[in-house]
Amino acid sequence: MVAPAPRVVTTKGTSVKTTDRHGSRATWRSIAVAAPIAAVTFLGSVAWATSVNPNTTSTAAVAPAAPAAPAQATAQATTPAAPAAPGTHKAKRRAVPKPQPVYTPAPAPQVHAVTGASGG
Amino acid sequence: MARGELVESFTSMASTITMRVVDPTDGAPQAIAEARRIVEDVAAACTRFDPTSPLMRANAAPDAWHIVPGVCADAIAAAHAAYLATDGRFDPRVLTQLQRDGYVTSRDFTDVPVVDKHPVPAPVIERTPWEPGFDGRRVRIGAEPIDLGGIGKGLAVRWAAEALRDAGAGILVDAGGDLVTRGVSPDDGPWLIGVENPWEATGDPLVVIDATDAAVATSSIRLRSWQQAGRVRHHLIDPRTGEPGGAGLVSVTVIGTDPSDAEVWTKALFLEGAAGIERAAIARRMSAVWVDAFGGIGMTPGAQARIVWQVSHADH
Repeated sequence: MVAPAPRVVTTKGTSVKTTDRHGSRATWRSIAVAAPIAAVTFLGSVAWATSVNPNTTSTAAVAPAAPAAPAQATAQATTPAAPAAPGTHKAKRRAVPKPQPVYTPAPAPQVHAVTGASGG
Repeated sequence: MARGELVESFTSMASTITMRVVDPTDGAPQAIAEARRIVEDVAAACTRFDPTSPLMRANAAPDAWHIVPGVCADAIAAAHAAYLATDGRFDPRVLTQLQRDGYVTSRDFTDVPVVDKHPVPAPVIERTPWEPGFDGRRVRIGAEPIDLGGIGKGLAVRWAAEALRDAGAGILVDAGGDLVTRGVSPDDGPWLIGVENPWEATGDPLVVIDATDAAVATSSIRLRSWQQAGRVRHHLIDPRTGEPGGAGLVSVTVIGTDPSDAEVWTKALFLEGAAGIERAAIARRMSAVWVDAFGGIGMTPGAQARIVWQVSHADH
């Protein structure tokens, strides 16, 4: 499976939130720290994207892209998280289930013929 | 808007042969009859399952000269050209190995592939070059008998399509694994061809390709793989070893322009196995799709450009 690209999640005031390719998130509150981190993260995502060999097609690479249209991609209902104890910031983040995209694959089009095993 | 079409379907070469002519001309019925005659002539001349066929009479004394029907002589010549073009990967002399492994009658062995997921490499054997002789309809096969099954079907599709060339605005000649399309489809759009899922042939295809003005052929072990004395056998013999080849692969589909060439290259690429097929197909600029023993789908950029639909991993 190809790992998701690292990306900057949000920037707000002097705070930058990032997510790396493994899904780990971090919040950088000082702009002096956040700016370089955001730049490195962005460049990392570019390097990751260009590292995919366009001439080589693997099983994962030929998989159909998940439909991204809002009409097809609907957020799955999630169970509300139980309130975390005061001061347990990390515990609270882990308790929130990650929303999973749900989509219906397009049905196979009508074909004129099928190629496969045949008699001989 | 759907167009009018003539459809002819019959059984030959142990397969259902279907011919479709879109917007047929007045001469289309005659052209279809001629195309059908060609297919049946090739089947009768080149079958290895009838000991009285011209091929098998020649195979009985392969080193002697024999007069055979024109389609049989042409098929042997085409097989030799394919042998040279593939550096011997395509070698019809594997007949002896097929018979040794129990494939002596025309039949289906199973409906799902029998897969050896951890094959042991077979040792390479010594083979003399194949040097048949040709003199019009007189042929000398060579030291060993040959099997024209696969290439015979590809040639029948090629020659039938040539007979239908002026029969309408579009044609399809489909012999199961091997097919060719020309011109428009009955839906006024592209000819859409599904690539069979080897594990669920009656379900959705694995991919659907735009095969307009193209030939498509598949070599698959879905119907012709079996166990013999505890060993997995199938009908795609590697002439370098004399054993079933294509380690780790279940099917290979090639999209090209000629059905006989596509048929030859499905076999030659299959023998590269899961480890080598991508490199070999790209090196020869082939449009190929393959399915490995673990259900993975691979394809070259040329094939990917023709994909109009692909099964999702959730369905596959």
